[in-house]
Amino acid sequence: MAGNEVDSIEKIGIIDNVYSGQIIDISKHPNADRLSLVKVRLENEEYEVVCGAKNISLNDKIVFAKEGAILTDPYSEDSKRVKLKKSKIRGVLSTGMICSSKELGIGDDHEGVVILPKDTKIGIPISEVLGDVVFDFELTPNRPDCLGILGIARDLGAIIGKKLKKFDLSYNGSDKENNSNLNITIEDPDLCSRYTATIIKNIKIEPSPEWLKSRLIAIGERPVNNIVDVTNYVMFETGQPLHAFDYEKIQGNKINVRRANNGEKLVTLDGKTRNLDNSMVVISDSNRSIGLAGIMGGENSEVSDDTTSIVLEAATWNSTNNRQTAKKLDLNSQATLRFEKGLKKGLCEIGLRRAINLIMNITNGVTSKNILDINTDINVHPEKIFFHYEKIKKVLGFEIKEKVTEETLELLGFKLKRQKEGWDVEIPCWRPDISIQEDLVEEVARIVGYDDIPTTILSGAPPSSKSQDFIQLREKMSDVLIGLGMYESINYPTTSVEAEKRVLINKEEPKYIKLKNPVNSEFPIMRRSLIEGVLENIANNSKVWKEPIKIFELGKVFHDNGGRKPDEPYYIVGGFAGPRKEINWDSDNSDVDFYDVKGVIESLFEEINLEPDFEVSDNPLFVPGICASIKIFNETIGVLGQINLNIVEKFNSEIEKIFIFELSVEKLFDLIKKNKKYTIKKFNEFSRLPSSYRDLSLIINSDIFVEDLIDQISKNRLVKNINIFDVFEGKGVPKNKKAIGLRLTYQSSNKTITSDEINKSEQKIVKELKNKFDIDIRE
Amino acid sequence: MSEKNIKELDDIKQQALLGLSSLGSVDQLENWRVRYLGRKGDLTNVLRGISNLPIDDRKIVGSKANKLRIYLEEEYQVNLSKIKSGNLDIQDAIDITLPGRKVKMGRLHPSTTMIREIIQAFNEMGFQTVEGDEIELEKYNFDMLNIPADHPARDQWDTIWIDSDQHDDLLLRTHTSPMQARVMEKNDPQVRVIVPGKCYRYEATDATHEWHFNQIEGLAVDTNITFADLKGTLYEFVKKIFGPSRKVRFRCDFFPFVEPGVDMSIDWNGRWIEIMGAGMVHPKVLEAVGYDTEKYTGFAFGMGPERISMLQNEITDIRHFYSNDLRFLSQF
Repeated sequence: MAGNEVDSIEKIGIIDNVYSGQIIDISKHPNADRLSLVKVRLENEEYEVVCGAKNISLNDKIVFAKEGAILTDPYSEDSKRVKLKKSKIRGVLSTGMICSSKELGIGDDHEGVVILPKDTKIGIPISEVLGDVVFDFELTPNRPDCLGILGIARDLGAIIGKKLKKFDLSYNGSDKENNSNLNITIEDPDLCSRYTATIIKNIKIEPSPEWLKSRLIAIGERPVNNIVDVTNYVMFETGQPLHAFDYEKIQGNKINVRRANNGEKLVTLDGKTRNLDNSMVVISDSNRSIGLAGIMGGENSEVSDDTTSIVLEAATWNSTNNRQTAKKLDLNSQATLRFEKGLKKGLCEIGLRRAINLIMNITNGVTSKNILDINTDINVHPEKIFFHYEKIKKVLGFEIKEKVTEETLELLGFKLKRQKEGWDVEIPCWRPDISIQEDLVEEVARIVGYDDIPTTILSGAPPSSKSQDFIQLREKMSDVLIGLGMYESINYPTTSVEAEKRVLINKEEPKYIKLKNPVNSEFPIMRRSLIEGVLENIANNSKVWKEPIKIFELGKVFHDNGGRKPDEPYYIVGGFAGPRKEINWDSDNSDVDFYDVKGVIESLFEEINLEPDFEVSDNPLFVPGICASIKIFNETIGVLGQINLNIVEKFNSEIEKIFIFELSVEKLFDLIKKNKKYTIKKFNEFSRLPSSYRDLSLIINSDIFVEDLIDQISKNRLVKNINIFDVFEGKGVPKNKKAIGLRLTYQSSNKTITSDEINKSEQKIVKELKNKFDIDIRE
Repeated sequence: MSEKNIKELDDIKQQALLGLSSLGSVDQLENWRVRYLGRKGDLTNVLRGISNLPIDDRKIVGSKANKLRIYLEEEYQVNLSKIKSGNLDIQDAIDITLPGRKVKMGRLHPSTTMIREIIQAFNEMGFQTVEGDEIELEKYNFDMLNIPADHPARDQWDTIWIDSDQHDDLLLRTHTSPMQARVMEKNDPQVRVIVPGKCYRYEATDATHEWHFNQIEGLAVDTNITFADLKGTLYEFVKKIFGPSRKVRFRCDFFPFVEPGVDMSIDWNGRWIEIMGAGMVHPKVLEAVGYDTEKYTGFAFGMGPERISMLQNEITDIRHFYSNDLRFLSQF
């Protein structure tokens, strides 16, 4: 609700029929050396079980599973759950089981069983002892405080109106100890604005107590030892990453924060040798680097089993530098995840004191009362901002009571002081994301709840609408094409040089627009044509779609123009293949041809009130002779034709005959704008006088264009319309000739036309055609 | 004599009526008419012969013959209209279950359909459509939107970069938000725009992720624009697209170019589905385009039409959108 979303909820250690118990007797198994017979007491009951664990001793408090408990099978790879049954083990009946953490599903350990703290009550359900619920949060990147449990708890507290419990940072320092032996210096305060540390002596490295281990396991961390576990735990608690060095391994009692030398090498805790350069920050002793600042410690100063004293570090690193270094080294650590978000320098002291508190509690460590604190003048986050009383109303359009604002912000850790026109707000050290008043508005609004904010309709007149003609033209063209039976496709705008060469035959190598990091490395350049995509669509569909294939794409192509940004002009490409019409009981079952495609173009242009001209064109993409350029206002704006079979071959299509048209939408739009007056429809008075028609059958040479005949006939003023009802070559027509059937409709605009007049016109037309085109009249 | 004539008339009547019932077409009925009522027809012959009969018979036969003529003429008319109304013969009925000759329409791509619906909803609220380039400068895609270089917030947008000798700041826009900066840079307030367009992210494609997708961005800047206006605008949008009774939820979310930030979910069969990110335009974004942040406030929002289409049309795998398989495209 308030920003951080619960992704999942997992219950752990909550298992029925499992109780805390106490070992009251251990004896040897009669038939197996490595097994023991153990008597376990719950509150009022006693059980005898066979146990293989070595880490048990008399009076230990353990976790006991009764018959019927559902446990994790420790030997299955996918954590299968099985129901516990009574069973005989080497001849002895076992009536339950002492559990390992793995069997309980709370850890990975199956070497020994879980030993509970000595003060654990026996006979109580285990969920009350070990049970836990793990919430998995999806966090927003601006809230590094929520990368600590405290941050989440504080937010939750604010929502339910409860203050966070006091957080224990105290510890008993020794008067005898002081940190003055250790000399800490920061060479570049821009990269490290604060460094806090302390020495803790008299430490015994051992496994952490059960509560600490189980909490780390629950959040997916592997327990290591009491020191490392505390540094991790505190990071997950407060959000401040920490590091512990083995004090004995720091040479010369010296810690210096400096830039790495170019070519310097450091073996990090993961055992990898890192090659450093001058942009990176290291922590070094008097001789060598011992840690990669804010990312990972060095192996040479690592806390190990025989460590007895440590230097505990909590520092504030430059976020940008930290992120760049982690990226360069490809080393993403939990520390970087936090530092790269820009932690405030106040947080490191809290982290350090909390870690000292824990270490002192779980070890016999000794430390000084005072910490070492090198605090530079660098401060990238504001400590205070002014928050105007009117700001909430201005941003939200809704008033929140000043008292509610104060309470909410205080629950989140802000400190407010009333002034005349607003509050002085002190920002807590765990909130680097707060720097302006709007941030505070969000804080209040998200806790109060966005649902409480009213809804209003935008006031004021909407801005005057500018021309949307280009979008309208594109929408209109798409609408007409779907009306003509075409489906719209949308292709990825990327391709490869080789793939593109199938359809774009260039004399010289063009300048490709290349991608540095294409998602699919096979397609690393931006497309320069839509034709390739549409041909791919047809080829793919030809295998699965037996009905007519009519597809168009209206989209951008990308052309380098020598300038900073490429051109992104829109094109429309249509493709046709397969049968002309759906198979139907009396439909024409022939395949689509050139004239179907030309018809689509003609209809399309009719709808935008333009009459295109088609001219014979020579284009290597198309079958020679079955290709035309499309012109309006004497300028070529596109092309159509049948795709050359050599090209079709490269597309793995099951259909060979593919027709394509391509139109430049930009050119079309520009021409329409330039010739606006011709594209607006104007009414033509239609004649109410009767018309009549005559049919003419002509034989003409095959190479005469019908359009030329039509143009000639149209010159006659009485001819109102010409339909071509037949075109025929072959049987009954001489070789190299074709027969044309024309229906001429005659109509006069001012009187009823007589059959005499029609006869005269017809004779005249025939005579002119004979002169011009050497036609014959077919009887 | 007259008895013979009367019998003849009875025979004519019987035959004529018998023949009449099997006639199915206008032509057949015309033949019938000619046979009985035509110039040389059977009844006409009788009527012509009447003048040769004795006077007493003339009257009787004449009257009966005339009645028969009127009767047959009526029958003729009745049957003629029956035939014309097509209500006669089973052999002329057609099989109406055969499929018709459809004029088959194509279809817009479901992304286009959804974009148009959404855009129209905002156009009606006074938002004006603008479009931008898909190859964008880093400055507009990130810097001016309060997403500085080397800031972890950039991780929200895995970017595909253009490989160019001269410039290293060209990219495929990761969202339509750069148009916020571009529109404001070019225009003084007030601004109220809606921006559809393709966007790209460097990420692996699976059933719910696509590296190539559409986004629709909205921006309103003016004096006195508030979060309540943002909520009101988005409620109105949900009403238009999902119906008036759809439940809506607003929650805090983070986007660097807004503050406060919000995401909007709608109720989908009892589950909250997030469909939009939004918020009040961050003062730093307004500053970057030179707007007076004391005077002007604004809100911005962005959504994915494919995601909404997946909900509405119950498409379970986003990869269908760019498969361009007619088995998919023909369904919408």
